[in-house]
Amino acid sequence: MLIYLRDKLALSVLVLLTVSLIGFALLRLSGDLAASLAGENASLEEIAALRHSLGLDRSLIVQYGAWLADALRGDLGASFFTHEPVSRLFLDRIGVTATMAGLALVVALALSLPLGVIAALRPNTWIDRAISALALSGQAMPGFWLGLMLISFFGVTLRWLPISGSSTPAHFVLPVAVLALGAVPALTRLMRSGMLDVLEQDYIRTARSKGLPVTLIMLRHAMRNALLPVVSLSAVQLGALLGGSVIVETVFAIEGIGLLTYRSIQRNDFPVVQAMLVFVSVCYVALTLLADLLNAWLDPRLREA
Amino acid sequence: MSDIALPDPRRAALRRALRHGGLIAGLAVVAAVVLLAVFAPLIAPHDPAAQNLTLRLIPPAWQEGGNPAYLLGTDHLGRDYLSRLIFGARVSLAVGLSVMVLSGLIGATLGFLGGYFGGRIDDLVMYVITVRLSMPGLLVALAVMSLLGGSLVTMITVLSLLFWDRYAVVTRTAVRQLRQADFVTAARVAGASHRWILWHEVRPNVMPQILVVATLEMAMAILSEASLSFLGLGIQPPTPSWGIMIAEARSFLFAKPYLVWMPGLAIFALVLAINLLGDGLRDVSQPEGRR
Amino acid sequence: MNQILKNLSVLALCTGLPMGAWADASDDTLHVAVARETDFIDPIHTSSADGDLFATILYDTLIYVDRATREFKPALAESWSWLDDTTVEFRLREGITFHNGEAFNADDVVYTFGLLMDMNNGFRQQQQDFGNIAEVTKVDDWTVRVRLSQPQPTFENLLASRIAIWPDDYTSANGHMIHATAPVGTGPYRLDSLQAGSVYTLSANADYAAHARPAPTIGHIEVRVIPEIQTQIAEVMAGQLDLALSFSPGDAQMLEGMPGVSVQYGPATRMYFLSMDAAGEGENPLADRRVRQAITWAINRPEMTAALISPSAPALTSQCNPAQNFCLTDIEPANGYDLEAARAALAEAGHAEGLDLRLMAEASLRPVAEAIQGYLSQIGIRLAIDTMPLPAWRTAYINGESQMSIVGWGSGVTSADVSNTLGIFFNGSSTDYVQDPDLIAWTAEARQSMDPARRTELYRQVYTRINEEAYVVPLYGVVATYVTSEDVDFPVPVMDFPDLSLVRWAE
Repeated sequence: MLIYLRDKLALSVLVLLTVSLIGFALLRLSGDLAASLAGENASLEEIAALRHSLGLDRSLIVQYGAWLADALRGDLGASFFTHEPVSRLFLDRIGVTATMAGLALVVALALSLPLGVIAALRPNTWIDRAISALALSGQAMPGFWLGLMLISFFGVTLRWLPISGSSTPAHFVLPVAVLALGAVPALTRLMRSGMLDVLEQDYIRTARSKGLPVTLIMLRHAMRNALLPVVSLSAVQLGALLGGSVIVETVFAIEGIGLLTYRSIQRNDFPVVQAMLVFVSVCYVALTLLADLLNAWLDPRLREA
Repeated sequence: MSDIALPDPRRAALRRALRHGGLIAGLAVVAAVVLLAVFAPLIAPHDPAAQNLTLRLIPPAWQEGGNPAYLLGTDHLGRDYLSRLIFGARVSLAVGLSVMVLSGLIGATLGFLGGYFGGRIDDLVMYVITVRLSMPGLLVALAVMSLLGGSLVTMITVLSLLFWDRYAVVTRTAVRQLRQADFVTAARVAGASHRWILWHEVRPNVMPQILVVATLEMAMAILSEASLSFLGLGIQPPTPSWGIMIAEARSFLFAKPYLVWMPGLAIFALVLAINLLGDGLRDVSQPEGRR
Repeated sequence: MNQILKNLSVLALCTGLPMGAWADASDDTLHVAVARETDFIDPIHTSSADGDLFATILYDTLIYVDRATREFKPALAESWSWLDDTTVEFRLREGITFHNGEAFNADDVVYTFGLLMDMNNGFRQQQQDFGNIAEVTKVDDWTVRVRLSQPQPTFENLLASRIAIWPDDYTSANGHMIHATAPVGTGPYRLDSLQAGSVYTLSANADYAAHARPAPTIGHIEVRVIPEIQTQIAEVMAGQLDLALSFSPGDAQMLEGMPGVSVQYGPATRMYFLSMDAAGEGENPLADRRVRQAITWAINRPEMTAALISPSAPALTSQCNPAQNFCLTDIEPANGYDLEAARAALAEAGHAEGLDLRLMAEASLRPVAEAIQGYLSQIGIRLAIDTMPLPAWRTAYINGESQMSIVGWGSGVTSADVSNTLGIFFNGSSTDYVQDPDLIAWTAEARQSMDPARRTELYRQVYTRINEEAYVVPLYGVVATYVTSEDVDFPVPVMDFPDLSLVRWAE
């Protein structure tokens, strides 16, 4: 188990380095940063001076080295746009996004696990069909469209909920609903198919034929095994939720890291985008590590790997 | 290996398929959209790019002020909305299908290799998967699209290179669980090659899960195209896509909601049908006695 | 399952709770929405309409531009006079204090000008806007003299917009970046709190010394950044906003006639034109005047402007916005819509069978780009469109990669004079796709001439040459849109440079 952990950690470090390098190369190729930062009226000389002062006239490798050295010391640089330290920009905004994504995952799991199990226990009945229809409908709506529809219904027509911003808990209801509905279909379907598969396995059949109560079988064997892919997917989904927060934060005017990154991409604010890439990367690595451990705990067979 | 042998599995599957309502419905809708896309130039009443600013924002024919020549009305540039919807099917389908297949090839291959062989190969696969998962898909797509501009090919390439992760993760997890299953061990003892085992023993057993992912993925691709369009990085004009149409019409969300509803419904129907198809295929292709 | 249901119902209950106040005068707070965040909220670090919104009410400038008449009026300077073509002397107002209690005098002005002249400070467009300031001298505690290197007829525009006065003690003690987060000025409002890019709250400066600009009457202002316009529309419909400043006329049109909402339009100085690579070398069809003329004649500008921008927006016939000083609209040839002439010109240029061209535009201009694509297809020009985010477009444009582009230019008081908008597109720089030596000379002279008649004459030559050669297609001018609730009395300014301190609660 310790060796397993050590290998995972080594892999994580390698992954983080790779991502930061890919991100660096990708972003530095995306046009002349100095030209877009200098302002509408800037002259060529002003652009050249800016390029020099930002160190953008050095070679890519040198720039990456400098960035990495700073990053390892915890200095992620300052935004080209507002000159604020990137770490502060992040710390100011991460709470909102994390709250939203975390709530959305909880809501999504709370909905999809029972739905998936019920559907699997009564396959091909009207309950199953109703659940999949529900899941499918959620899946088939673009997030921004759903967001605007919810705003127009709950915010404008009924006036039950605030429309935009993040100042009270009520402000989170609509954005969390949109994010969660985006994650529910995949999780429900995976839970259902995982359950179906497991329920057909020999040992479950044996248990059933022995006359053990269905709930007991479910809890003891079926749920555990059916959860495996769901746990993996949940980790992925949380990342997707962070990424998907771009749309939701734009629609609901929530100042989180998704919106920050989207704006930064638009104005080539490279230190912020780079930091976001590395940050998400760290999150994923930590989460997959956690998911792997959970999987190992849920299915001892995988532990030997 | 099968403990229950059906007289003819194919015929049985076909019989199951014909009795599966969801599958038939999904297939019908997808087939209809494919036909619409293929024969778009013959079916569409107008050139989807022909604009006429004096005829802009005509409501659908059944509403007051409608014009029978423009059945579903016109958009903000006076282009026939029905024709744009019909031609839009091409882009949405092309994006959905290509991304589904390409990302499926990448993801499933990685998942098979890692899950089946384990060891160093799995380490490598895990490394590639983790690197990919570590990058927020939509944001990277945004950055790349803003760098390369939005052609159809760029869109498909970017989405395919980014959205294979679910295939890989699900396939790998499923294959890992299978590789020590009795029938795999039995085949190995019997001297079967890895390739044979992978193709004949492992693949059929994870196919249902891959199919589920594939339909989700196609739906994802169509929706991602819409999202990128919403964020201003869609496919370049005048090519209409349903995503672009929603994005363009959103300024009229409160004034002329049907402009948003129509392409929205089109996406909804197509994605729903794809999912029904996937569900159905899964039910049908899964021989009951297999596991 | 039951537990989950219970949790869900608790969640549902929680969410039924506080909603935030409806927008009205009861809490004496003006709720304002804008679509874009700003990098700085002072006008020295940045230069944009987004930043000006805050800068105008946090700071005072030496002279104030009257929002109703566009006249320059005394502000921190009680009076000012030009001693010669390059020297201006300010007589300062006495008895003014900054938000932190620091007293205002000549030292603050000298200190601020000193920062403007130090090019190491890296203010946005510092060289362009402040590079002409040569010297600042304190004559006595209430008199300051500023000398320019070259005559600059538009210097007052800068004095009334970008050159806010910072307190010298506070700024030197904390560094000038302090104004990004804890601004201290003499303006009618002070900043209470900010969540950068998201929410800004301000409250009235009770000690504000009214001059050309009256003291504020509304106690608090809350500005929120809401990037999605549809969301802003929803907020307006739900009665949550008092003032929305980022609507396009098209968006605002939908709100006209809504109970409780008032929609007003005002002049703006921003304009859009179609840039063509007239000076490009190699195989370049746009080097041929007849091709450029064909393109110009094929675009029905009045129709496009009325349909896509606003019926009240000006369709341009010369390379300037009629809202600007020295804009002339009676230029010949006017290059009106004429498809026959366009086809003939294209055929004469040897492109009877058509032509492939590329157009770049910022993403939000997609409808305009598509409209142009449609017009040009009528004369056989196949136009490929690249839409991209603004920085990407700007980079490509500066690097000379544009064959055709839709260019939007100028805003606020610095663009009140055409010298700013003609600026970098005809001056021989890397953003000059025309490179006409006469235009370079004429615009340079006009930029420095202190004689209005001479400037008018020079600009007439410039506009005429541009139209004769069809170097660019002037497209349309912008209309500023102000959506307010009926609780609010908002005087529409004569240019898109609103001063929120002038807003009052309706009687």
